[in-house]
Amino acid sequence: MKKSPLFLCLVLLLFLANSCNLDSLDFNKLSDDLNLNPEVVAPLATADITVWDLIHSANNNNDDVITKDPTTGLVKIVYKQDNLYTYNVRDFLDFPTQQSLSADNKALGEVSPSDVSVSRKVTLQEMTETLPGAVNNVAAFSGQTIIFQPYSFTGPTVIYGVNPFSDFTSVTLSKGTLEVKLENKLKIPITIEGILYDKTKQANIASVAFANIQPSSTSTQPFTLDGKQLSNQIEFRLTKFTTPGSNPGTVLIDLQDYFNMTFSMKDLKVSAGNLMVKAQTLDESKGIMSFSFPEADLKAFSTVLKKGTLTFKSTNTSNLTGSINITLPEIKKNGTPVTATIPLTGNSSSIDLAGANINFASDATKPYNQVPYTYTVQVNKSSTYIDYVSTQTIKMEVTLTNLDFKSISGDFGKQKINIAQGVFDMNVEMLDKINGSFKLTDPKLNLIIHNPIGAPATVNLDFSATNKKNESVALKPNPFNLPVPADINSGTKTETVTFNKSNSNIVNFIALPPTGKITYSGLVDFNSGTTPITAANPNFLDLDAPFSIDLAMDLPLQLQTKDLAFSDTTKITGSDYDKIETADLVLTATNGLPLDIDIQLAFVDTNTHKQIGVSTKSKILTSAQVNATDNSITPVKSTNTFTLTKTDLENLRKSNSIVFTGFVSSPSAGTSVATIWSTSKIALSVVIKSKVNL
Amino acid sequence: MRNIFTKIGLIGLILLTGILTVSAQESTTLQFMKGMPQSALTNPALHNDSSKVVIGLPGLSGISFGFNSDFAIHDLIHKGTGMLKDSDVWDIENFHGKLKSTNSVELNTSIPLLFLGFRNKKSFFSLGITEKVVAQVTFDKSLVTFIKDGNAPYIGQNFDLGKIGINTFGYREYAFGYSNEFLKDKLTIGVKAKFLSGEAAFHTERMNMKVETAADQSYLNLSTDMDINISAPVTVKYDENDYFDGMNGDNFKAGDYLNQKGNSGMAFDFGAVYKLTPKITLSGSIIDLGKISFKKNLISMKHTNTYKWDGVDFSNSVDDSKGDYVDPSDLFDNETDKMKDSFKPKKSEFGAESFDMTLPTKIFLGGTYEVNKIFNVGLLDCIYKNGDVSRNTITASGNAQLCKFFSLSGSYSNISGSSNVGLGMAMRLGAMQLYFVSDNVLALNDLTKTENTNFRFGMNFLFGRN
Repeated sequence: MKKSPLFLCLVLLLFLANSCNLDSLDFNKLSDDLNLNPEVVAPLATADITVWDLIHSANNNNDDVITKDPTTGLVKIVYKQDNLYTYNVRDFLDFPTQQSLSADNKALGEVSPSDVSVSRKVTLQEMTETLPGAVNNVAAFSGQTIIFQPYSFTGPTVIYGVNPFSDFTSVTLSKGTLEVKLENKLKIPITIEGILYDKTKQANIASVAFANIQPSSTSTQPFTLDGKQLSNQIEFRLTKFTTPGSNPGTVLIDLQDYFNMTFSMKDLKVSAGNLMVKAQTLDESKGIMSFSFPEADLKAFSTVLKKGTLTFKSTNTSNLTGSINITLPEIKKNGTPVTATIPLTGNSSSIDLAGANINFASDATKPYNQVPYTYTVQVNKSSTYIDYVSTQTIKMEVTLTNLDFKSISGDFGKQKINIAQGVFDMNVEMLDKINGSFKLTDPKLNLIIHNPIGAPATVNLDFSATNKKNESVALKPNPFNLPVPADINSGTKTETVTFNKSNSNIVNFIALPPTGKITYSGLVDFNSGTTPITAANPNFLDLDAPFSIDLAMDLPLQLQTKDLAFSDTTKITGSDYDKIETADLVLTATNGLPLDIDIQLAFVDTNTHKQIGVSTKSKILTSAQVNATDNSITPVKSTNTFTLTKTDLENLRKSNSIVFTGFVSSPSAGTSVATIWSTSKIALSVVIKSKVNL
Repeated sequence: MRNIFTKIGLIGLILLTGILTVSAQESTTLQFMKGMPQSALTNPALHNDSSKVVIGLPGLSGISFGFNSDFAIHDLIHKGTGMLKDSDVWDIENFHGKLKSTNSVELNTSIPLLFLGFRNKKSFFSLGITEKVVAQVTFDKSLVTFIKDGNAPYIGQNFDLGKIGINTFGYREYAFGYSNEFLKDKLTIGVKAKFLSGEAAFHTERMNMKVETAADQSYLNLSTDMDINISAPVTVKYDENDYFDGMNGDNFKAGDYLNQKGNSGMAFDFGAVYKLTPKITLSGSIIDLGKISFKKNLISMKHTNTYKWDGVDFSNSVDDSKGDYVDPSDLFDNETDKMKDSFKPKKSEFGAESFDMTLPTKIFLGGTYEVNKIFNVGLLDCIYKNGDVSRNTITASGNAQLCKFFSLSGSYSNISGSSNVGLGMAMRLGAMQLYFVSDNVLALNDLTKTENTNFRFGMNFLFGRN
């Protein structure tokens, strides 16, 4: 009995002790969901940025393409393609690499022997022996002083031999002068008449007559030899000799007293003969050599050679020896005409023509493609008698080899350059990211032409742009005149030809936008006009200067657009947003950019390529106001809310990527122009209001 | 023989299950429980047991655990419904609804190391050495309101999340008690002097937080104000920038902790019992009036901070060509680091100030009416105060000494509005007495639904009982 209460108490104690339990709380079965749904408001982000910051970040792979005007700050797309087209100017005209120029055969012309002179002294002694009456037998009075009695001889002819001329054997003179000089060394005045007689030709050379030549006096008589044929075998045939004597005076009779006849031939021009030629220079010869260009229409006025080699060659049909001094007065090197001295028969050494100027226009009758030449023949004195005929010829040949032209001026004729189809891609990253089109108010396409060809030309060029959808638009620019350098010394003419909205279809061209390939082709037509090309107004060409065309597009961002879409895809992990039930992003902005911006999110699964859902398109930025009069911009403060509903967040959680699409419109629903200044500011703050599910 | 083994087995089982259970604070049921030397814990003049010698062995004489809260676990976590009926679900809404403006969760525990008491004529002397731990966490309802609602409903306001208090300390109590009877045994006055040796403490002098949400939602202002004192065998670590980087307890040794010297304090218990009539006895006591001054292993930190969050500024993170470009991922990292550094205390904010921890004080006022020799009824009002937390418990009890070796008490307590049914039993087996007492036995069946519970269990050795 006593034990029972004890036992009962023990059991009761045990029961009480063991009933203390937390079995109703099993932490293993505790839900992860806290059932906590606080609503949180917090500022998320702020930014005070300029338009330039935004543009730069959107286009960070090709920074050079989007720039800002350094003065105004206007944002522009500037695309430059250097050497869009290049042309090898040496292909413009065909040039020869060598030329052979020949002068006509040229007659050598008359040569001159030396002046010759022979004398014949006839003594009193010889006269007494040869003249009838022995001249009054004066010999008997030799040594005596007597009165020399008058004498008269009038024939028959008495022949006195003369030494032959030494410098020729026979000649035909085209010109010359015979001078006969009588020197009276008798003591009595004499009168002589006679004939200089060519024994070989058997012809009288000259009839001489000296009257009453006083003692110790001289008398000369000239005779022309023009056209005479002579041999060197001559004699003097005395036909008359008279003297009045010395009466009343007496003279010493010296039988060695004489009269002397000198026969001098001067200034002889021999047209033929056998003679010893003296060293002399023949008359200068001139002529014209013609240049031959492969271009049939090319009339070259002048050229400068980059390199070339000139050699002369002469051939000579006569027996003369000597050298030829040839000058090409219109081929000048360093301002000095090219000259050479070559043997009368032979070749010159090579003359380097690098840098030489050639004037092809010195002949007024044919002022192109010709070069004059002059040469003189320097004849050596012959050591023996040679046969010579003045009609014997020499011929000059000029050979130009290894020719490389530096520049040329002339009349190039009608020439064309076909600009074959080319293609390029602007590759503007920002344009690649947009869908839709926009119209720029003042786009420009500049062609920077570097032209060394000095010939008027018309350029017909076209560009065709395509976009990613393969739609295309042609630029259709007006034909334009090729900018031309002023003269050959001006170098390459660089000038910009601008296509804008008034002379091309550039507004629609850019509005495409040209996100695909741009093709181009064209034709440059030279000398298509009627203005004559003269030496005063020539075509010219520097063959070393490049011809190229650079392209530059200048696209100021003054645009009209409606709902121009920018898209960007960002990977996300949907489960990161498990705790968010709804979210409102409240954007408060002071917007200095004159664009309305809406945004829409598409939730996608890139693995299955499915779009799971799309949010409502919501405005996030209200455009700044643009003054219609002066285009000034007044920033606008606005507050816009972008809401992610429960459905949006459910879709977000199921997706692995979000496609952010921004829709941009210029003011007044895209009807006004928005000017994008780099300095325009956007001050933005984003507050998130979110119901979270913890 | 078999009976002895049965007893030992049952007792061991009870001890084992008793140690595994959660128990309560100082029990109000205990005070008027007959034959219980532990009644003196609530009133040093009250001796419900007449033994001449009372011995309590280490760990056995009365392990107690107490849990008090202004809400039950069930208010926050409970079984779901429908598809979730098999799961435990969070119910913040319900939890929030149950909260008061200031709420506390307290845990008190004590483990006796030694108890010795002996009676000499009209006096009773006692000596007790006990390990005690007091832990209290307080928070304002506004904190949970903020967590539940978020800050969206409070735009334009500087929302005060209220105060958070964490006060916990462990100490060893060396208690010397003396009581004597006066006025012809009508009046007994008792006093207990307690020498306290603090072992460790964590005390928030001040911990406030506010969140201001700007009217235009352009910023959040988070402000904190903290004043914390710690006494523990740990050191503060700092990072390379001299910011707080954790605590280092590598040198902690349990022996050093338990034998900590230098943190000393005093507390007193005062009590009186007056027999108004032979049947009516009145009692009153004040327990644990005192404090401990912590002066060893001190770490004090005063940190006031305001952090303004106005969003991440992307102004320099758009154009990466600029010299001052900052990568967006670095922005968040930088801002996060800035926020962390803002809330992290600096080395200069640490010190080593001594501080006092006041013991939770209890005032017991009550009385009993002896119905007959073996049964009385009691009424007790216990006022409990620990810092800003105060609690009033009114307990009505019936106490019976059913036989020489068994006493039983039943009680009904109203603890700050919640009803609790208590039970106490003491059973004597020769000189050994086993006892158990709890102010809320019904809570033991489902602790998740209880806001207050306590449990005391132990073994005494009683000699010379009258």
